[in-house]
Amino acid sequence: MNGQRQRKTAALLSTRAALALAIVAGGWARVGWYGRRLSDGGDEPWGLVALVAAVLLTPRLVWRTPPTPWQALAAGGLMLGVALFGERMPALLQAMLWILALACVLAEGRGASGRTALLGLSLPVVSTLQFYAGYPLRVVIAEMGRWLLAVVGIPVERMGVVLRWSGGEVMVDAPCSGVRMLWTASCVAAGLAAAFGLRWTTSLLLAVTTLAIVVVGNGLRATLLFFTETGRWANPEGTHSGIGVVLFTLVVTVVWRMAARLGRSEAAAR
Amino acid sequence: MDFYRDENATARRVLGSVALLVRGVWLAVIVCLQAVSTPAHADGGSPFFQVTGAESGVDALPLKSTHVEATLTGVIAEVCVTQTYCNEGSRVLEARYVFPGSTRAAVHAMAMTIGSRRIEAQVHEKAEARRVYETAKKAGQTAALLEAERSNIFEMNVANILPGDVVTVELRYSELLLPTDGEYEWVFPTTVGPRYRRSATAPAPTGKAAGGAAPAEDATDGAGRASLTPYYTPIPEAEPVFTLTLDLATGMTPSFLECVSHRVTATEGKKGRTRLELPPAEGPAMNRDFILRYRLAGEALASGLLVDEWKGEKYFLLTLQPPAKIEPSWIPPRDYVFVVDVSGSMHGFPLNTAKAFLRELLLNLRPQDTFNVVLFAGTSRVLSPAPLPATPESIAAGVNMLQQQHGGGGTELLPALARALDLPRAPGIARSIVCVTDGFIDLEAEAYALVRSRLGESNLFAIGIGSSVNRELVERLARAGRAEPAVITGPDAVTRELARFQSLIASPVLTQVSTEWAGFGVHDVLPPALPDLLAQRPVMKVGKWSGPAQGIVRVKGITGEKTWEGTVDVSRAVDLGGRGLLAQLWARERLTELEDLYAISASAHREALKQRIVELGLKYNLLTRFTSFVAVDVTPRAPMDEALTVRHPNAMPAGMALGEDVPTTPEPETFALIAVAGVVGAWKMRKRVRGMLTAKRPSRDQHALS
Repeated sequence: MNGQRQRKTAALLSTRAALALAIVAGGWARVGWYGRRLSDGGDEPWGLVALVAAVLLTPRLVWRTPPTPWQALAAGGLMLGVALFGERMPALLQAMLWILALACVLAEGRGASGRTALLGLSLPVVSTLQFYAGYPLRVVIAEMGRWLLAVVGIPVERMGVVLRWSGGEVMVDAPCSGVRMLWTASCVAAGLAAAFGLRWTTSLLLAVTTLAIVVVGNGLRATLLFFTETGRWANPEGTHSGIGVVLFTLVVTVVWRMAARLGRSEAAAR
Repeated sequence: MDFYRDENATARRVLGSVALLVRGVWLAVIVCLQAVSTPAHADGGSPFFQVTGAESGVDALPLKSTHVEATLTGVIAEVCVTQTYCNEGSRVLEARYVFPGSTRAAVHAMAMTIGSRRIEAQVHEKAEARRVYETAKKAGQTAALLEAERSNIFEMNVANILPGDVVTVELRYSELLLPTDGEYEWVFPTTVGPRYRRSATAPAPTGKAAGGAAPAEDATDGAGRASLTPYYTPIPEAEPVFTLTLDLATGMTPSFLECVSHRVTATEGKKGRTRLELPPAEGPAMNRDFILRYRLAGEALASGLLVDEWKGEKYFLLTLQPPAKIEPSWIPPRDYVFVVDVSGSMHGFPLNTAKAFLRELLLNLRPQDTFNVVLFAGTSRVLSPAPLPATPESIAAGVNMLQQQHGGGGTELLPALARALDLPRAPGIARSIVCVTDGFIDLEAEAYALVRSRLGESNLFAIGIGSSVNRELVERLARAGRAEPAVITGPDAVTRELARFQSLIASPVLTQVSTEWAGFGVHDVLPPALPDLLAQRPVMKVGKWSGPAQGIVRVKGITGEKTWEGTVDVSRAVDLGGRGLLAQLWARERLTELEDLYAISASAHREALKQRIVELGLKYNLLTRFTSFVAVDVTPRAPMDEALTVRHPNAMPAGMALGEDVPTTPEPETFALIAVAGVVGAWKMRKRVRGMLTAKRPSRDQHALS
């Protein structure tokens, strides 16, 4: 009886894995594009870390469980959509639909939200985020810096993303937007959501909180760097990145504590 | 389904996954580090010295050397620049190289040599020259085209350089050298600084002359092509070999001789000749102008009349030693406006030098003087809405305002100049505007027009700071401002320029200058009227003449509080024997005048002025912004449409770096952020592991499916 079940489990495992492989094979053009984007310098290749994390955080039992008809149907529908309408879509949107199809197969049991988010974050989205969300984030950071500096008694004028004070200017330019911090912190939050088995709603709450924590953390970072960049504080070598690393450590710690607390709450509710 | 019934099991999964993740990241790091540290020879080339855009078989740096031969005789410099292009690749090339020239250079000849064939270039109207060049290029013929965007920026195009070819292009120019305070300075510009480009948005100059001034053709040149823009590379290997030989044929041994920019060797020859040589340097040599300064024994100045005949017309050059400066007993109070460039291109030593210079100027103001400070980058700021008395407090405020600058942002010179020119001033007090900039903008004509139309009774001193200043802007501004230009190439020149500037301001050498040509039939004399002579510099006039070489030339003016008169006997003029040098110098002065007029003219008059510039260029074989030199080797040598265009890079001016701008606050690299997340994760999991070790190991059943 036990042996029969094991054989059945092994057979079922191949079904889900075969479906995942079929999706990868079906979207081979997207795989090629993905590879090119990771290597052409247009984006950073760190999405692979999120991809590896998504695979590693998928429990073995998920692979052994057969996909539900709805999962197979959704994955198939998405792949069909890509095949039929993909030509008219931007490459990143095509890849998102393709990775969503893969997520349909892997999104089984608790923690599926986190793994889906990791798969999404594995795509080369940082440049796109920088393009569309970079400037609004920079404005928010600059305004937060202006406010924080006013609190400590330094009158600063914000002109767009430039902080002007009587001694000069400090700019919150594209590399200061916090998009990289946001991507990395989001990966951490998604990984924790997967690891702690958070539900979709709880994961969404964690994602929103992570966004807020990153924005606040980056605002603090930019404000502290205002002091070094304007010469108000000594600026020995390494100070710049040191401040960034310390602030991000705080951000990740807070995100981790938040995820752990949400995980405990969910466990208690169960 | 519930996969997470046991909390410790969850912790183990997380721990295992994180450990795998950390291992994966570590592996990736190792791979990346190995890739970065792989020796260049391992894959045939180091990624750090790769030329962007270079293709296999393409020689991306075809300009191999620049050799300069200069002869400095009296007040005239004759220069021959030889550029050697060599194609060491396997593809046919077209080379483009944007390079600078002297602002007073009259480029009058060009020749191209391929192997044993030497082809003298012809001067054509710019569009026609371009057409000839393009036709030759398409026909597979080797051709060279020399164009000018401004009076001091040229572009050399050499088409169809076959693999293994050595093509040399010679260009010859002459220029006028006028000593200041007995000191001669000869400059050979080596690189073109990057220009801050923006359309002219300053309020349109008012007045009849400039009321309808059309925007300068900064986007396109006269031929409708895009502006010539230099291209930069941080790769030192891109620099061609730069050598120079210079003959100082002054007839007497210089009492002082100094090359302030490069290490040269000097040898004395016969008949008071001195020969200087700049050997090939190991380090960069073309990232700063070559500057030679010298004085003649006994402070002798080339003074007198030179005459020459060229193509049936007679030309003269008059230089006259000015009177010794007389300090007047009383110097009236003066109002100063200091306009200082604090843009990104001034970051570093130019701004530090400007700070030191301005600080000294402010500290040396007299109590009766007033002043104001305008700082400009992307926008401009004024120290005070009204002139400030030169009290210690207001001077301290001015110095403090400047000291806080770090250099950042664009270079919006025009609005800043407009603001300075519009600042209120006390009635009856003469104003001097002192504009300090590196001049790295491309709106020289607009700045000239603005200053000329709004200056009123003021004068404007233009001070360029940097190792390779845009001298055209500085000189043009000073010319429009009826004052003197100055260039400070480093902090060590501050004291000298400061003393000179104060001397200029305090007591002009000669005012109300007039010239009388008694019995000497002259016409087309340039400049038509002499401005006040502020510096100890010869009075200079160049023009044409007719009739016999007789009569007296008298130059009159007021020095200190007395009248001064200098005379030259025409019959003692030195004849240059038909070399054409004076014709070229006259044409160059005429060109400067026409270009200044062109800059401030309404668009309706521009076409006529352009035509006059073209005629001048064609008649005198002169490179202008509307005439170019083209040389074509009629032998077809390359298959059609095969040549690849390569833009040879310029060296970045010393002390200047691309991208240095407003301070910013970039976040750490993604790799550092991932490492931080990994460290935090490891720390968190360490606590969990400790908890697990003290807890009971879960049974297998707890992993079962629900």
